[in-house]
Amino acid sequence: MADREYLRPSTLVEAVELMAAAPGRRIVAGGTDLMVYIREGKERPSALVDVTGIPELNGVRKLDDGALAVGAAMTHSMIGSDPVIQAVAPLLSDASSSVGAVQIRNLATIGGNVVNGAVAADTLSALAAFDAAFITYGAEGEKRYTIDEFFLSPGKTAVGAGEILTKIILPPQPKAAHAFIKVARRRAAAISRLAVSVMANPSEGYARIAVGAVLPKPGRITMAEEALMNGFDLSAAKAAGDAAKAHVLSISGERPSMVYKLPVVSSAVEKAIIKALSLKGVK
Amino acid sequence: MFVEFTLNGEKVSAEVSGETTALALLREKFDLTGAKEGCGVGECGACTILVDGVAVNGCLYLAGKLDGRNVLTVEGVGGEEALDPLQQKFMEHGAVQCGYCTPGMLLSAKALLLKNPKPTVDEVKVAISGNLCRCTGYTPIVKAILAATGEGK
Repeated sequence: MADREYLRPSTLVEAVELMAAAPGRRIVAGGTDLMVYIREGKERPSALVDVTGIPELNGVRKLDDGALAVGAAMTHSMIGSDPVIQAVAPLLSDASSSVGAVQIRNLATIGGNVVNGAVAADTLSALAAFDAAFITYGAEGEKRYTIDEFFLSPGKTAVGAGEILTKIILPPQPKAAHAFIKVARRRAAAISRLAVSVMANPSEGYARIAVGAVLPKPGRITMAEEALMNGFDLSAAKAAGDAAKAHVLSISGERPSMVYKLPVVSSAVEKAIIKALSLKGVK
Repeated sequence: MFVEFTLNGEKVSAEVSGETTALALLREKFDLTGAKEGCGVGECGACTILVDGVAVNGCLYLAGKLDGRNVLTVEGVGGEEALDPLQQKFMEHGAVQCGYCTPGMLLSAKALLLKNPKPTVDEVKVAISGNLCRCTGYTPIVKAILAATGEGK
């Protein structure tokens, strides 16, 4: 087996130079996906460039416009326990806390979850609900992508080779209740069959609803959100669930698994809305 | 690359290639075979080690990342004269059958107790949710961990 190099740049400029210096190099953060791909022979990088030590990829910062900039190399454990994220974006804390099990959350990063672009990635529905933006750094300097520009198709993102995701930007949201629901075979160490993210304050005409794992790319379901625009009651929650189901069917189409998935989509969306709004109310 | 780190309290160093895992390094270079390779893809937790006090899957952890860090394996838990309270309670509660998951279970429990010396039953269950055991049904393990905190019986 080739003796691949392991490189640990301490600045973004150095990382971009190292990526450009030889073909076939691969950026690595936590490595929880990449190490599996290497083991299976699906990836054969010529060298690994570990970006987790670069300051721009670490920490959480509140920007002047109230948005939150989350470092791409933050682990899911950090995001789940960070007091600023818990206060401003508890939906993302909940989503990160549902990833894998403890050992994976201590190693896997949100940037890796995003860049690999797996449809079942646990944090993507939460990021869609926020209309998150993504900041990268590459040979052409800094770039900013909307979530729609960033995710192209299952497993495909707009990030080029040698382009490094540095930050995830969560635009400020009005005060809202939230809920995150993950449906999987087990409660831990399992891949999402469905994830639902809800942020809502219906009396203010605000609702964000996004689902993961059943759509080719993350995005909000505006038809479902509209069902909550005239206030919250159980029939509004049901209408939102039905709208989400219709949306998933229109995008992903009929396929054998839909017989199971569609009723689960509608009831999980309904349940998430009720969980968010009826128990705690909007604080 | 050349890595220097603290392993069970001792300063050590090693030359590692790009894709060496911490698990391979510990087992093959340092002869610490407590951490096991079960699934090799981060699902079973038999390879669990603590890095700077937090549990990670040794099979996914790049050895290059160990540089400058503090690593604890099951060989560093307890000593020749006295077992760690967790090890003692695992024995008393029959929390070990085939033993393959035991080093990982002990380290996940250790990581929990380092952070949270008086965990609830649910916190114990979450802490070991990344460690599969096919023998015990988990109940004796949860009891043993709670007993090690002075709670439970």
